Amino acid sequence: MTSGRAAHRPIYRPGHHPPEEQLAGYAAGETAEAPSLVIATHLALCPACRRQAADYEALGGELLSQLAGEPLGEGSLSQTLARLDATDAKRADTGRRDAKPSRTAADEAFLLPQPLRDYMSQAWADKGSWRKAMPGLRVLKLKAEGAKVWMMELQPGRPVPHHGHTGQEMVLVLSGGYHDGPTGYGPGDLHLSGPETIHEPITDPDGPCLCLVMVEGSIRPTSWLGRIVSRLMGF
Amino acid sequence: MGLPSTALPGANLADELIGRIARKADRAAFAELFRLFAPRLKSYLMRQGCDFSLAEELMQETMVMVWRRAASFEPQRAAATTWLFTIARNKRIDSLRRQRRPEIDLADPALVPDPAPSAEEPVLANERGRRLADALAALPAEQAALVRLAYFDDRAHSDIAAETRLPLGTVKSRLRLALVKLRRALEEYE
Repeated sequence: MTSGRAAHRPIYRPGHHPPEEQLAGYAAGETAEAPSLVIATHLALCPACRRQAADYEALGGELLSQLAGEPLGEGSLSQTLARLDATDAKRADTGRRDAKPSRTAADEAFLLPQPLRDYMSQAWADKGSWRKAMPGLRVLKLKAEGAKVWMMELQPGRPVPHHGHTGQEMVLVLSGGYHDGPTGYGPGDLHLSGPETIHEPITDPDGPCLCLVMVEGSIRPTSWLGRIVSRLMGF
Repeated sequence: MGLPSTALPGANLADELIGRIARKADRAAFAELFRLFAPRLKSYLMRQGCDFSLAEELMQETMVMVWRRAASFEPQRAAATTWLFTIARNKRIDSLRRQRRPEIDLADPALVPDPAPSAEEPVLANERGRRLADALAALPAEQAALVRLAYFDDRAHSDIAAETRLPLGTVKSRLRLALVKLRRALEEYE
């Protein structure tokens, strides 16, 4: 447990980011919920990508303004004005809708960013729980459309069993770090690997590593241990 | 298809109209904003695969949301067209995919903050929008068409590849090239 407040912690600037077209796809709204959750959580941790995503939203706005209009339905404006009356009658909330959530000391010691926090809350609400998949590795399944998503916590110095996948794998480091071969990944880093990759990442020795993991298709364990783990994890 | 495009007047007009809605619940301003954007929003939604009546419904829901959320519009953060685009985009995701759209919360204490702003004046959202429009106009026609396809047609890159008769890898690399060019055009000014 760290003692100081979040503001005093050195801020890790992620060095591994989603590719251009994935940020653009997220901004365009063409990305399914599961990869969107990973990208949005990366955006919370990476100001540089946040800015790029904002540029791609601006591109959407620009393209929208260049579109030729479609004819509207009969009485379109008057119908919409009538709907405003209904919404005005309901509206008690003016100004900013979201007050800043209050923080506790525990939150500051370890606080997951939005939108991930909401998905974690949902997992608890659905009676989800951390499951030990093997010594030093536990997982918590999250619910998002389009792919399998889970939180994964690894104890220091542990390898993830050697595996491949049939689709894309996205791993976002939330705390701690790991190495995959010579390449290191730390908080905020997004590690993408395609179907052709077979790897065995190893957690760094200095502390546990917490990650958000998404896998499209299925995992192909390439060892007996991996096969047992994937069965335990329910894939 | 569609009506001839009516040129949009200056971006500042849209900012001003949204401001009037936020401050005074001004229905005349809303009607004017509706006249400017409703046909375009509907066009966007139809390109995304909505039929005429669903596009009409989602467009109206988008405009109602504009009315309700006008106070949260921050012109220094995003241009009005961008803000409208994001609202319509989220309506479409809710409706067509029945999925949530995971989004960051800028007020979240766990969000890693932007680096301290430089002493120079920040580039205003509308100014960035204008530069983006220029950069888009300067793209080779085929790249610009690809950006539009990728953005506004709810189809996978593989379908675009089939339609344009280009290999999938070529579609992806050309799209990436076009996107990088657009962002460079923005960054050159900073």
